[in-house]
Amino acid sequence: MTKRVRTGVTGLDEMLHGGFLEGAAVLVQGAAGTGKTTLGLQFLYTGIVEEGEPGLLITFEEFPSSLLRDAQEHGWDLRALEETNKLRILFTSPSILLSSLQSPDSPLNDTILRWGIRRVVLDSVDHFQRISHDPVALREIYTTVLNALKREEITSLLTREVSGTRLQSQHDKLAYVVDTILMMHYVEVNSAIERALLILKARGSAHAQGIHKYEIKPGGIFVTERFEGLQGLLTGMPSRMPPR
Amino acid sequence: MPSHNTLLSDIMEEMDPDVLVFIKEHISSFTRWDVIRFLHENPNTEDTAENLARFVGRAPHVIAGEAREMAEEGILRAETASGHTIYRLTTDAQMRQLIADLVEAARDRTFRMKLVYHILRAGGR
Repeated sequence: MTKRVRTGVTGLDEMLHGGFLEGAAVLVQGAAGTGKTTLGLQFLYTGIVEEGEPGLLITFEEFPSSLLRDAQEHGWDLRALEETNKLRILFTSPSILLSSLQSPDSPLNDTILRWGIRRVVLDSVDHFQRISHDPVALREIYTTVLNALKREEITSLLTREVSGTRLQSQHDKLAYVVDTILMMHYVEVNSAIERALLILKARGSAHAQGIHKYEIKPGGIFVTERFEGLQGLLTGMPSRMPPR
Repeated sequence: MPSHNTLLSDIMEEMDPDVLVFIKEHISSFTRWDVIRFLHENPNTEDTAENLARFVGRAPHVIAGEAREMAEEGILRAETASGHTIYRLTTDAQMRQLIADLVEAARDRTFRMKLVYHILRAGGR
């Protein structure tokens, strides 16, 4: 039986029937501000502090100093974890990451092997489009990155910014190469914005089918109850379901 | 009342001697100061001079020259991969400690004034 990798997010691990499958590539997509990076930080922090699994955060745009500060707001002292070689926050660009992953003797591969990195967060995959917009080339890039991580049986979480309600389409090459897709979404309910989370795909694993509410507050992300009695949630403006 | 110059030179003399030597030998421009401060705050940055320029808001050709020199001086490490020169902060613990001491000291306004004075006097930009 494949080991489950807990995210540490209350409610989400239950939706995932215990967590991600070990070695899975997980895509977390949602609009800006939905909490994709926070989920990634929580995933890493849980891995290090509760499971003893060293982690690597690769960021292409957000400065590590900002991430450390944001994490501190949740009570996660990532700086201390960096100082004790349990967490590495790598700030680089997509082309450099790609060449590092392809070079067996690169410092990045050395860190992955020497530290025994078990969890990786890549924030965000949108930046690979700085290398190419060609869908075929992009699929090759995604495959290269994911294979490099899977080779070490690392469970990876990739974030992607998606506006609106994009689900899977035949043009979405990344959706085909990842094992699991989580979607984080804003929903307007009764003139207020709520947050919704669903598991769109979990290859080889049973998972909850419902769309659940979640909150971001000190301590991280908390997934709560399922939305009930509403339809059209993924449009962002649901309506009451008609009585049967 | 002491003159402005006298006051500043007095303050320079009050600096930690190691930090003072580091400043005199390596901080010859505001560009260098920006790069060093950025890499201290984001110590696991690995990128090209062009991208470092983007992060610190400086012209790429200026950063390219400074990064090359700082690598020669041991502040940065330079490696070539796939035709790119990739820069990262030195792993030398002593050098990193000097940089940390400098950044910490520069949180003080008076110290920053001294640093600005030193860079201007060195003709740095």
